[in-house]
Amino acid sequence: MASEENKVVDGLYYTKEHEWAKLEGDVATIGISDYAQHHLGDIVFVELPEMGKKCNQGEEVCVVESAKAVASVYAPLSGEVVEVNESAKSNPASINKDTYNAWIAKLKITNPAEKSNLMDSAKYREYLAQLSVKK
Amino acid sequence: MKLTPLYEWHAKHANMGPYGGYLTPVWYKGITEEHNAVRNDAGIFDITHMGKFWFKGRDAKEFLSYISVSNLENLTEGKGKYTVILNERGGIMDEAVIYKVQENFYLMICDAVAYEKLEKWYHDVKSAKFANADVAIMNKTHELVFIAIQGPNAYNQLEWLGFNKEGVKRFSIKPFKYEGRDIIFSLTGYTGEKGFELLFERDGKFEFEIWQKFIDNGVQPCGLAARNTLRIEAGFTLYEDETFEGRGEDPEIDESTPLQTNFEFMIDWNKDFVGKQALLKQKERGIKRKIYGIEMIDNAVPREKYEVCKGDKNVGYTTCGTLSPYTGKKIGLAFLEVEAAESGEVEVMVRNKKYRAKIVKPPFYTKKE
Repeated sequence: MASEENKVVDGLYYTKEHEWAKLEGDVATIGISDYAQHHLGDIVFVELPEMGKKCNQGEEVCVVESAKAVASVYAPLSGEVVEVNESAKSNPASINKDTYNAWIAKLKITNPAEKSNLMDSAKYREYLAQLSVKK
Repeated sequence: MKLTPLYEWHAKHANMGPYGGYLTPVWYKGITEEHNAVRNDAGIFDITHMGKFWFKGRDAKEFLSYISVSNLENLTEGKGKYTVILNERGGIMDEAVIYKVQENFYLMICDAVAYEKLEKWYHDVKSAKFANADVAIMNKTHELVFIAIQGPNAYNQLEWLGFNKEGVKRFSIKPFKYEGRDIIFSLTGYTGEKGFELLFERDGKFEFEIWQKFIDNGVQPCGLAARNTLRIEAGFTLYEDETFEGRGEDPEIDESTPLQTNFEFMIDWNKDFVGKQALLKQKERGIKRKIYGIEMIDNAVPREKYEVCKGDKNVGYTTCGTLSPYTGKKIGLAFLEVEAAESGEVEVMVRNKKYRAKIVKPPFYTKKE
């Protein structure tokens, strides 16, 4: 909603498709941003990726479904799924409530240099500001 | 993009999105909360985007009787009929409600997506068949505001409106005055709940006042997303999803006729109407595909236009679907081959995987009283 703030957390990386990634060594924890959950509305279903699934940066890892629509979650970085968050699946609304803790999967990343294609929190805030101007 | 008279209010309070050429409120607080407000309490919807026509004149009834499948002969003043408008192939051009306002004066409510097409169609039929008839077709879509108040507590609002609904039956209208203004009360809805709809002239100010008054009285504003999940739970069809016109190449697949959408009850076979011959032929051939309710056995949410299989065979597709906010079930409607559906179980293809679903008869919910 226009009046609601879109929370952006420092220290995370963001995609133009509104995923977030937290980088720790060669593992990226991923989820969808606050902006994404606001726009999707009530999230009712999370289809976690299969363990061991490999995807390239920008490819679909899995989907989340709102009451209204299906939304793809794209891999912020290339990698292999090494962990999934079962609690996001059993409680999809946790993504609406606290999306930066309601992570979806952890990827073992294969190309750390891809980080340069992502936005840091400052750049992502700017990006969101531009989106709201275009609107 | 067209805007309804209440647009400014919605733009301030809702996530907006397109529907039927309009920019409409998709949700305000959240689909689940709005949906359940209607199931448990009361919600209000701006449905002004819907098409509204007046038909006036001595031959209005005859004209409407020809363009719709229903028997309008015994329609008394204030009574309405839920009907469908067909093309010559029997395909559904739209679902509509026709009300007799008074002698020689009828009101039609139809879908936002269809009214422009219908207006042209009505004039074509008039030129071809009713050239000398006394029937004026008036598109009132942009002059009239239309709001729906739905839910088990909806009727509580009638007190401050000063309206006594006693004697008003379902699918009926009754005019009344509120603060000196003419309002048409209609005992109708699209949610499966008790409730009513109000129709009145656009004013620029009054529609905001009355809308706000409902909200100040505790009625939850609801967007079109909740309207859709509510109608799916209730098992109601929507034009362009379950009811639609086809290309006419294979009438069993490309065209949705009232015989395929469980609307045979509407049809008056004793009169002449557009599409009748095509329907009679289809009846003779037998119905191959129909609309059915599906409930997922496996864990996936059906959405519109997912492929449906029985074994290795494609047997149709889903026309709508959702995770039911009231029951938590994963439900939808589907256009399926009769034989496969009658077996009681099919598989829905969700992201290239098959998930089992059983065939059920809507509505998909029962009220927890």
